Amino acid sequence: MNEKSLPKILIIDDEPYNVSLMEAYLSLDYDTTGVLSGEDALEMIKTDDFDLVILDIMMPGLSGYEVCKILKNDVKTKFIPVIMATALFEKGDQIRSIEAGADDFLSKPVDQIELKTRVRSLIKVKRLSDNLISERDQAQRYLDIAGVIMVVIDPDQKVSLINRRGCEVLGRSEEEVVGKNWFEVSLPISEQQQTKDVFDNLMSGNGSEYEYNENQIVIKNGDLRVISWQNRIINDDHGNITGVLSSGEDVTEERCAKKELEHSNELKDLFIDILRHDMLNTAGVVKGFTEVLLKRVTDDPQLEMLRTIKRNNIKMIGLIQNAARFAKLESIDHLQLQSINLCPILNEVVDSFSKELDKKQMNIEMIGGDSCQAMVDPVIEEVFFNFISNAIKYGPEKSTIRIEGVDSDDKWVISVCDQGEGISGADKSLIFERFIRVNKTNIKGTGLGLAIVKRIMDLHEGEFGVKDNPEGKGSVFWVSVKKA
Amino acid sequence: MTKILVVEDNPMNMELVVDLLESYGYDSTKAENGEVALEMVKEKAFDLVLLDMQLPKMDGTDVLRIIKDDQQTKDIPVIALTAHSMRGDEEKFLNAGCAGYMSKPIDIHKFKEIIDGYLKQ
Repeated sequence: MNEKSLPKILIIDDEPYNVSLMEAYLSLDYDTTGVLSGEDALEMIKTDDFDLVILDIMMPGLSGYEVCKILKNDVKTKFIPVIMATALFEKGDQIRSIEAGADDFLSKPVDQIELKTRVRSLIKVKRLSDNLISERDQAQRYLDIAGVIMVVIDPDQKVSLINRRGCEVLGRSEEEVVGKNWFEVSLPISEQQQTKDVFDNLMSGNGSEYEYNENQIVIKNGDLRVISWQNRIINDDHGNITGVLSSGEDVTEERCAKKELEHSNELKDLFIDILRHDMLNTAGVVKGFTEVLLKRVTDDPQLEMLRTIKRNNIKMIGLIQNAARFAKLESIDHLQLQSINLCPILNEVVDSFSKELDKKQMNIEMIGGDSCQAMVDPVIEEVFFNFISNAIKYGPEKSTIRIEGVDSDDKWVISVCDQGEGISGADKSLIFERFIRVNKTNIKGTGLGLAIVKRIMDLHEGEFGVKDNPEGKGSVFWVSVKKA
Repeated sequence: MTKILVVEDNPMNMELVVDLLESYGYDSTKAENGEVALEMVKEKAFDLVLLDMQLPKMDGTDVLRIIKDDQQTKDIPVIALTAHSMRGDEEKFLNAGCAGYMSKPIDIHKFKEIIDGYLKQ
């Protein structure tokens, strides 16, 4: 019923004069329609919404009782108030009217004041009931819109309400669930008894008011879903427990994803373990025997082959060590930085390469002071190790490698400059990205060294990069770290 | 002849070490696990023990402790053979009574030098 428009009244009487009279009394305050038979009335009510029906009992064809019964038995019309009107109101009529579902009586000839009073009070009732219904519908709509399952279970374990989402997840209609034992409808048989016991315990007032739990439910097609529940006990005004309201979220996908992730992490750990232990040891044994043979074999072509084996074996050991180191760094997400002087570290790294430097007759030039106090983790050594190792590997014989520490505001910029072939523009940004090679097969591998550098610098929240040697051929690899 | 006991569970590692030791003219004895090693040090007077620290069942550190707790064997120098993955643990082994350590893969160029160094002590 619209608040602004006039309430609509349907008047049914086989006597046209009676219809006209009642319309005359009511038409000022109400929107009235008159019909002369029960059959016409039922037709009208199908197409129009009325707020009140005034019904004559004695009519040819359908009697008032019959019309009233039909209206009251139809869900769509049962809330429309019906006033029964008749010339002779005896006790029997009243009982029959009540049995037919009438809401009030009126004797004819109709008294204007009596008519208006009864109509007004019934219209008021109708309005209140309309409001109630619309509030209930609204609440149901909210429940249905909710993306979570909402289910109310009464103390007898029966479902008294379930929303649309709940039905969707279960794959069942509301009728298949409401009024049924919730635990029998939704749980795997093996878990029913235990859960019922927990529920009964909750109903008897034990246990906490709020409960979170996660369990598997069985849906109609037999599949299992994992639901995360939040349960709340419902009390009436007197504090008695009248049921439980549970809202549940289907977390099956999340749980599966988590399991898969855990599995792939375990797999990763297993591979790292195989790398670090089994493969490294095996490669080490090959190295040992190769070296023994190199001492014993005197035949030149065989020596050459053994040297090739040794060279590749050393490369392989380096790769395994780097891969294990890289994987370990990937699993760390935080470094505890401390104040460390970078200069002794740089010197130590340079010293560790003395054999390789001698072999290629290369020089190292160290520029800058002897104190570069920075906030770093000792793992920073590997950054310098990789830079210098690359500079030796890619620099020509008898060239010079320049290592420089430059004071830049609150940072130290440490750079290693070689005189090698240099790195092309496009590759400069890719060279630190190990993972790009995973997807693009045409990028030539440079090992894991620079990916390790990137990871270490990311953990330091420091910057890094490569640029062309401003004084000629070659590249400058640099990193910047915060001063201590 | 200098007698050296090699405790190592990996047969390939064992073979390499024994091969090297014999090529340098040492008398080497193999023990593939800690229990065997502990029996052998009782039977024969060894001049040196090369002990892999990662052993199945009884760990290298346990073997080391038992050797060092026993009056009869405590003076035999023990060199810990350590894997790459044990980097950083060397100090622990030295404190536990090792005369020194050698990291795997074994650097055969330094092998004899190192062995001889500990034998002199």
